[in-house]
Amino acid sequence: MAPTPPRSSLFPTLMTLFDIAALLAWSLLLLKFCWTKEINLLLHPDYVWLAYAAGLFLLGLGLFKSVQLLGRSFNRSSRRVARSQAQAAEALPHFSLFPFGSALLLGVALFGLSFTPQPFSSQTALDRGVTDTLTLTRSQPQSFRSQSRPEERTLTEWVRTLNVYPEPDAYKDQKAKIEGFVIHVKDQPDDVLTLSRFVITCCAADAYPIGIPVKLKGSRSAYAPDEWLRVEGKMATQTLSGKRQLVVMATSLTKIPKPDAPYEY
Amino acid sequence: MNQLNNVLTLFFSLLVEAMPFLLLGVLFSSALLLFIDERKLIAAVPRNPLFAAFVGSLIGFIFPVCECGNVPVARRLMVQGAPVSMSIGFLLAAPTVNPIVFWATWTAFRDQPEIVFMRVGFSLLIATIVGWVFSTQKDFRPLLQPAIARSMPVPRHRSRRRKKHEESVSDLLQSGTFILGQSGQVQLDGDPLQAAALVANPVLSKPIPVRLQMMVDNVVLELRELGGILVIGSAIAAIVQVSVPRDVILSLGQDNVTSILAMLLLACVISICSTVDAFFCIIFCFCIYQRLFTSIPNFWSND
Amino acid sequence: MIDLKNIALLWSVFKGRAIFYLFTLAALLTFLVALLVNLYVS
Repeated sequence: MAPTPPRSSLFPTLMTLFDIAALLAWSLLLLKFCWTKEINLLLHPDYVWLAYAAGLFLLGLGLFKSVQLLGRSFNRSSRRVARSQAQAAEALPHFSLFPFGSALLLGVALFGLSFTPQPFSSQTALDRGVTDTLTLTRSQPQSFRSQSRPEERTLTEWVRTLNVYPEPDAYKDQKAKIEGFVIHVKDQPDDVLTLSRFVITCCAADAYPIGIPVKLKGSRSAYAPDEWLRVEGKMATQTLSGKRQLVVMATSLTKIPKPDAPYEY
Repeated sequence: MNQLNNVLTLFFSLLVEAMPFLLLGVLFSSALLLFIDERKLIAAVPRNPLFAAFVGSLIGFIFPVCECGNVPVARRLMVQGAPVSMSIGFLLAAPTVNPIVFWATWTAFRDQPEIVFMRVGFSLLIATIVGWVFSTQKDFRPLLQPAIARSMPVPRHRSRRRKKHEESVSDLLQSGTFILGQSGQVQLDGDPLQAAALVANPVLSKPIPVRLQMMVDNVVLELRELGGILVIGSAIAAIVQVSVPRDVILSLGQDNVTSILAMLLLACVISICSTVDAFFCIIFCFCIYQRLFTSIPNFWSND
Repeated sequence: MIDLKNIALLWSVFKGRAIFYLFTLAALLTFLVALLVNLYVS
C-alpha cells in the first residue's frame, strides 16, 4: 500500500486534464462543423458521416476519461481500481516523442471553434488553373447526357458534357442557364468573363475549379470577381487565347446570393 | 488575408478529413496491442524477408487503414517484434491494398476495372520490393526514433546464433517464441519495465474489462501524440498548397516523363487520404501509383 | 501513400534518413512502374 509520491501524481493528472480537454474540444469542433453545415466547405457530403462519427466517438472517449478522473479523485474506495489503472498505464509501452500533443490539439480545436471557413475565391481558382475540361467524374456521363435539356444543365454538367463530346460547334445555339462566380482571366478580352465553380471530390484540399467563358455586351468591370451570377444566353464558338472554345453569349445576367453549398460534386 | 484564410480552410479540411482515419488506425493499433498475442503473430510470420514483406503488404486486408491510420499500426507491429520488411510492406501497401480502397477505386473507375487491379497489384509489388530492400539493413534501430528503437527487440543475437550453430530453419522458427518467452536471454537496452511489458506481454493475462480500460488509455495516448503530429503535417501541407499554385506543378508536366513526375509531386502536395483519393484522381488522376496511368493521357488532352 | 501530411506522421517512427530512403525508393519505383505502364499498356 505504498502511497504514490505527489510529484508523480500531479503531472499525470495535469496531462489527463489536457487530454480530456483536447478530446472534448475536438469532438465539439467536429460536431460544430457538422451542425453549422460549415462542413460543406471542408468535405464532400459523402464523408461527412465520418467526421460526425469521429466527433461522437471523441465525445464518448472524453466523457469516459472525465468520469474516470472524477472517480479517481473523489471516490477513495476506488483506490484499488485506480492503482490497477495506474499499473495498466505503466504496462503500456509509451512513446513520448511528442508529449505536448494534447496542448497543441486543444489549441487548434479552440481556434477552429472560433474560425469560420471561407469558400475559395476567384484568386484560388486562377492559381489552380480554371479549365473547361473536367475528365470523367463520379457521375457516369451517360446518366445525364440524355436526361438534361440544354437549359437545365448546370455549369458542371456543361463541362462534363463537353468532356464527353468536346466539339464546341455541336452545342451551337443551344440555350444555357448557368450559375457560378465571376473570374477575370487576364488574357481574355475585356468583354469576356469566366463563370466558375469549384468541384470537390473529397475535401477542400482537392477542390478543382471549372469554368465557362461568358461573352458580355459591355465591359466585364461591371461584374466584380467573386460575385455570384446567373447567366442566361446561347452557346456559341469563339476563339479565346488562341483556342477555339464554347462561349456563352449572355442575354441576361442576374446577381444571386452565394449558395450555402458553393461547391459542386 | 485571403491567402491566410485559404491556408486555414485547407488546414481544417485536411484535419477533419484525416481525424476519423487516424482514430481508426489508433483503435486498430490498440486492439493489436491488447488482444493479439504477438507470439502467435511472430510465429506466423515467414522468415524469408521477401515473403514477409509480401505478407505484410497483405495485412491491409485485415486492418483497412489509410495513410493516416497506418502509422500507428505499423509502429505497433514493429514494436511487437514483427520483422522490419513486414512492417514497411504494411506501411506502404495498407493505404491501397485494402477492401475500402478497392471498393472506392472500383466505384470511381467503374468503366475501367483494370485500373483497380493495376492499383492494387502494383502497390503490392512496390511495397514488397521496398520492404525487401529495407530488410537488408540487419539492425534497423539506428534508423528509428530512439523511443521506438528502445522498445524493439535486438535482432543481432538471433543472427549470431544462426552463424554459430548453423541452425536449421525449424530452430529459427522457434526463435521467435524463444525471444518472447524468456526475457532474460534477450538483449534489450532501455527501460526494463517497457522491455518486460513487451517481451512477456502481461496484458494478455489480464481480464477483459481491465484490457478495455487499457485500450482506452492507449487510444488517448496515441491520439495525443499522433494527433499533434498530424496537426503539424496538415499545417505544412496547407501552407505548401497555397504558396505553390497548382498550375505551377501541372505546368511542369509537359511530356511523357515529366508529367509522371508532376503527378507524383502533386500527389505529395495534395495529401488526401488514399481511401477517398480515387475519386479525386478521376478528375486529373493525380495520385501516386496506378491511377497515374489513366491520368496521363487525360492530362495530355488538356493542352 | 506518401505525402506531406504523412511525412510528419512517419517522423514519429523513423529518423529523417529512413524517411528519405523510403520516400525516394517508393517514388522511384512508382515512377518506373508508371512509365512502364504508360509505354506498354496504354
